[in-house]
Amino acid sequence: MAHPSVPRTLSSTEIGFVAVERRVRISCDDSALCDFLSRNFEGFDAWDLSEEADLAYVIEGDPASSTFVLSTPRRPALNTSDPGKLLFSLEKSLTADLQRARSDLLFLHAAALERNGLAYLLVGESGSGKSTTAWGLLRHGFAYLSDELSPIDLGSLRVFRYPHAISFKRPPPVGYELPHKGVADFGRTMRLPVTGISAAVSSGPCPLGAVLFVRYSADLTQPALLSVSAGEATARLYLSTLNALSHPSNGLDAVMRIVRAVPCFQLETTADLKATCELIGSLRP
Amino acid sequence: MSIHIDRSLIVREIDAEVVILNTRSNEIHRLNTTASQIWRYLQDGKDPAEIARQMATDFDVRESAALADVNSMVRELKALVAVPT
Repeated sequence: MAHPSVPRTLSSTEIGFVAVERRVRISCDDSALCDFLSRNFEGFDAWDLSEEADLAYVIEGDPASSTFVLSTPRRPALNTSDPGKLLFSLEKSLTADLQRARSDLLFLHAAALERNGLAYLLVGESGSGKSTTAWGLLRHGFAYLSDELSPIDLGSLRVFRYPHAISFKRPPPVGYELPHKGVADFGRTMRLPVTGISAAVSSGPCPLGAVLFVRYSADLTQPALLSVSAGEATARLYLSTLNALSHPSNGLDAVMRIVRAVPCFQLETTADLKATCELIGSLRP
Repeated sequence: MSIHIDRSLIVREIDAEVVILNTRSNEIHRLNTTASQIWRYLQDGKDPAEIARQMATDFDVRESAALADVNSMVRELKALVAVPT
């Protein structure tokens, strides 16, 4: 388990890091923007840029229009003056390219936390509270793997880390406030780099321990962990797969392999984040 | 009666529940244990009356009530994913 390390900017205009065992290079001719982007990826391991990158992205400023142009290997160039939009598009391209580069892995839209060497996946629709629950768990002894992307090796059932900045759609509740400094506020989302989380970042990959389907229940007074049938878990986990078509039987057998191997629960969360985290902490898969 | 499984469907069973992935619509369906049992009977070539007889015995209910439920379930399955032949 490693702690947050230095930003991955290795020069004022280049960022190099390793994501899911692939070397990523981001070249950016604006040092301020490069510094801003590097904070998003500071949880990843660095590489020294001496070898050829597996995935390369170029961002160039256009002084005439005061915009940036993002060039990616497979998509049309994006032209924007909004750093938040640029980061969103860069990450969208990166995660799509990683799925192509590591088509042997099953990519899930899920947060992942580590405790005692095991990974716990938080699966849920966008806005279901994955990031908030993940943020809470980091205050309860869990280490950070990812807040939304969990690639899984189907042979070993190990979960790779994707420790980019944690993205929040709303501020966490009282007692779990975000730090005063370091949060990038994009209006619709806030991003907290891993140096701001005051918790361990998992060095991963680590074996999958359990899958939790997260749902916020406003009418409950206490959070609850409910058992889920294997069929229901299969259907729900399948909906969170990002690269199902890369796998035989459209990924259905891959998902069933996961469901057969680890316990799956429905996690009903409430406004009481502390109780929710303590409930998850009581799990012994 | 048998259930024709279209090539666009991928059908699996896990812990006595049938899961059906429709690759054409990209929808996934999970049948509960009762619906899964009816699915299996249909796969075996049983008709609704035979299934209802079996289920009336299994669940200790009147055969007429079971038949109504089976017919309803068969209609749902047909609408969902399968084309009876």
